[in-house]
Amino acid sequence: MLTLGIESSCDDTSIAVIENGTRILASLVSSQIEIHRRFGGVVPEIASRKHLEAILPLLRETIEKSGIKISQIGQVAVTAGPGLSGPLLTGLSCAKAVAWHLKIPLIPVNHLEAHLTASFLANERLPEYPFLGLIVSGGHSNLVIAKGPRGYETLGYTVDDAPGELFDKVARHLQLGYPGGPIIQKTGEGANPKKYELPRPMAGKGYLFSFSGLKTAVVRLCETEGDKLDLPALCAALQLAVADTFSRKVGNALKESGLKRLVIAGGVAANRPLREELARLAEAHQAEFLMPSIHLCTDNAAMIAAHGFISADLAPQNAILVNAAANWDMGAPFNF
Amino acid sequence: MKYLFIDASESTTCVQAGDSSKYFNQTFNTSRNLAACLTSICDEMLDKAGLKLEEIDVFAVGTGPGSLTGLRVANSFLRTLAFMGQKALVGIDLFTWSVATLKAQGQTGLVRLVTPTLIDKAFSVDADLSRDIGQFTPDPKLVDNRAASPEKPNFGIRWQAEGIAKLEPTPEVLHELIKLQQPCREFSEMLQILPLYIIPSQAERKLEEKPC
Repeated sequence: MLTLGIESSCDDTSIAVIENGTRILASLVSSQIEIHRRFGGVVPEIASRKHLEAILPLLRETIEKSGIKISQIGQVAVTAGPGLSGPLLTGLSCAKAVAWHLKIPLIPVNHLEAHLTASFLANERLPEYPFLGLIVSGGHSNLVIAKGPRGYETLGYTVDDAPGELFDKVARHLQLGYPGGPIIQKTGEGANPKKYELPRPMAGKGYLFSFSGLKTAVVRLCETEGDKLDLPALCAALQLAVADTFSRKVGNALKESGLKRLVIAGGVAANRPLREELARLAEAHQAEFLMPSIHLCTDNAAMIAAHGFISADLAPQNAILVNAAANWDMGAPFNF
Repeated sequence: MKYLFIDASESTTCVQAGDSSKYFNQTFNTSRNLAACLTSICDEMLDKAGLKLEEIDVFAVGTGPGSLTGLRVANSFLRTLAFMGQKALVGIDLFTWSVATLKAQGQTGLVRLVTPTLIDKAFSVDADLSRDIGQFTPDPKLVDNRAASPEKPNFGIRWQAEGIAKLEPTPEVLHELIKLQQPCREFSEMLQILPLYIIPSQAERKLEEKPC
């Protein structure tokens, strides 16, 4: 079964073709990072405009690269939410046209659910449930128990900023550029992460996360240190604070749930200190640790296609009538 | 020539399907739900016109001005359909459609067409109705207010105000306009058919206002 995946929930337009949910035949991404860089963040109106310009050339190129004929596609999986409305609608409309023309099923996919599937796809495996999942990105910070392709128990989420948002805001404050995550990681490489003591937000408060206080702590530290500020050490300390915050809560969740598989996903899952910390944690709990390759950490259509493949039976018969949902909790009903 | 047209520049969506001799036009109250009902409204219109999707030769799409989200949804859908079926695509500019409607109604001379935007500005186009519609190229100005021209008759597209008469572009004129337009068949040409009349986002306007 060939599944076409279409992703346009934020600032990356992506289209992929995968076979039987595990083999990527082609997966292309058209990134808008350079366009949004000068604004210091994603501008939804510009993102919508650029998705529309990019999506059709990308569809053609993906089909060519995959080496298949478009008529061989058996189903279309598309991100239906959560995300930015305008960008989501562009991808959804394109996907509906493909499905309607070919008279094949449309599978609306929850973007966050698909991020978790990316970690299995990176290992050319279909997801095995249950597992503990941590999704960390520019817009999300969710700790869940995944029980099935559309079955999730949410343990925790961020009450304010997501970790990627924190990195972006701090990078903007330090005038390092955009996006913040990779720049902060690069700047902090080799520096002493213990030179500065940053808070571990919401420590001891269940599974909820909060990162806005951490941003404030960085701003205050900059003011206090002035010209003496050791920028690499600050970046290293910030990453350690983030990794440590997740590690404590994920550790508790592994202990309480007894789950023996930990999956991390999302753009911030590309952060090396976080990956290393969670790998150590999983080992300490004798749990299998799955993380996506760097390419599959960021928004991509291969994960959408893979998740569409495993959740196809759970999609409603009239899925072609589904609407996009800017806010759509994992496992929640489709938006009609 | 069999065609399927969508104009989603407003909260209602105008859909028209036809061939060289007849057409069927209907306006659907799609509100913020166009992406959900795209296929169902097209199915309905094709049924009414006695057409099948694979028989369509030309997909025609409204390019604005109007709701950018609606225009993008319709554009993404119809452009993909044209690509999938290797069919032609036509962009229908609302100003051109409106000028053609005025000519069909016997209006002559110089006129001003006005259509409001969400940012308290309006697109304004001056047109000379004595010229052939094929020679008309809209050159809209984004004006600060919706004031009418004191010198010439003013028409608001699907909208009216003091001194501005409401103009409703008609299905008959659209039918003729679609037949008249040179359809894009090359992929590169098709990519040029996008919503026009983009209003810069707040972020872009702020950046422009910033001193260097």
